[in-house]
Amino acid sequence: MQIGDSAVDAFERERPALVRLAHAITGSNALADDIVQDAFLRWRGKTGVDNPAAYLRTVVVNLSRDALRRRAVADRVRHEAPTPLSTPELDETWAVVRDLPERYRTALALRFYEDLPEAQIAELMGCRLGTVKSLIHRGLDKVRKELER
Amino acid sequence: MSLDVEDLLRRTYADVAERTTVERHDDVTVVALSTVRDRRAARWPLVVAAAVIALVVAGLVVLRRDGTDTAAPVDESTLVHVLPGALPDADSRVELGGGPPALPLIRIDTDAEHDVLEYASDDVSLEISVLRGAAVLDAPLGEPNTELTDGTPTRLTTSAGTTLAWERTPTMRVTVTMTGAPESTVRGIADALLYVDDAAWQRATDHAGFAVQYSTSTPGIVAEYELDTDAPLTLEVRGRLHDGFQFGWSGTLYWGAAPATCEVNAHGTSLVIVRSPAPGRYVVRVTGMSPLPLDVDARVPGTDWYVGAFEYDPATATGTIRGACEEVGS
Repeated sequence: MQIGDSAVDAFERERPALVRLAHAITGSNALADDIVQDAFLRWRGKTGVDNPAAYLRTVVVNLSRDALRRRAVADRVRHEAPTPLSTPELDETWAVVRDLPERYRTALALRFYEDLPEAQIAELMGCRLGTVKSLIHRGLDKVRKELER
Repeated sequence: MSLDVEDLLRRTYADVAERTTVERHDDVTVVALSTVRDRRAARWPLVVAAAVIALVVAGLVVLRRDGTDTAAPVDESTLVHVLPGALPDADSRVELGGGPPALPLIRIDTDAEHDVLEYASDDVSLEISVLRGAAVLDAPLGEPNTELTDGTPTRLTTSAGTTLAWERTPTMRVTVTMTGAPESTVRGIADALLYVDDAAWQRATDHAGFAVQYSTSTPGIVAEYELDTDAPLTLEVRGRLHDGFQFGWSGTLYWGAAPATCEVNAHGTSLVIVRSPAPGRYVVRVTGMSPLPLDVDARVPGTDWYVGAFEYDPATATGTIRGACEEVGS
């Protein structure tokens, strides 16, 4: 499929939301930008995508997870200065979230940033509904315990 | 009072989203590529490396040799590696499968103190290396006796080929050595080098410098997995460090099973590379996919291994990618 100007424009419209989502999952703005660009390149070579926005979101979630599973990438993100937030309380929370294992980060970002229902998160993450419920419950518990230390 | 973690998370994510910066990439692409193209036209024939295109399109941190910032802002102290922005368009190049010729990359060697990229064909060799840290001070370069196009003081030597070496910083030395080509070619390669950071270096050198771009004789056939067991397949994998490097071959797809002797590596991306010590026909089984017949018969120049590659659709393949392959009896 040759991507025309209108499709590029459509991608540019989606790009900010996709970068924010990848940033929420990976904890790295720079990595998020790369991931979204990769997603675009994959979409460019893809035929028969009926809903580009949904396709791109799925690809971005999977590429973000793939990136975090790579030890070198995860280490780089861990040592990267996090985006400074507006209050110390949010900075502290963001630091805790960035330290969570990949599956918890993904589930929490999709639930509390994207506001997706658990069933849809299960579909995106390729796991059971019960697993998502458990990831969210335990993820919240981990964040709470770290913040209450 | 108990902590309302859900509310805290929502506010945190909202704040992160608000502060997320979104880079545009199209301007960067135009500037960088047009500059390289102009330089190529004015010099000995060089080929714009796939590396340039892939890195710039991917929006990675890149600084050209003349210091022009292509992805501002850049912390120059992080640019401790180099990648070729152009590769020699030598007469003696290696024919790979059904694809066009290319000067193959035969070695990537890297650690905390040095990087080496080595290209070679029968008549031409090219080594691009970086030395970092105390090792630079331990081995003095000698007085510069020439300059690169941007005025960088450089040491030119001509024993065992042509070597250009310069120190970008007191603790970073870049050396380009080439045999089988005139000095102007070596200068062209040196002028076109790109300074990159750790992330760009890692990305470019993943998968032995192959990676990410592929096409098939039937567009979409690999990504869609709608394989016709009788259809010929030509698969090309272009690498960031392999200008014009392609795995191109044709074969008949088929089904079968035999003891596994190859490796399947997903490398944390959706590109799966199947590697084998000998050429063969395999059925590859990857989680979530139908068995995929694949010829693993593209020899990697300078090595004793053979590869085949395909890409799964990251929108449909989730979770850990597990693969196995079974050789089909010949």
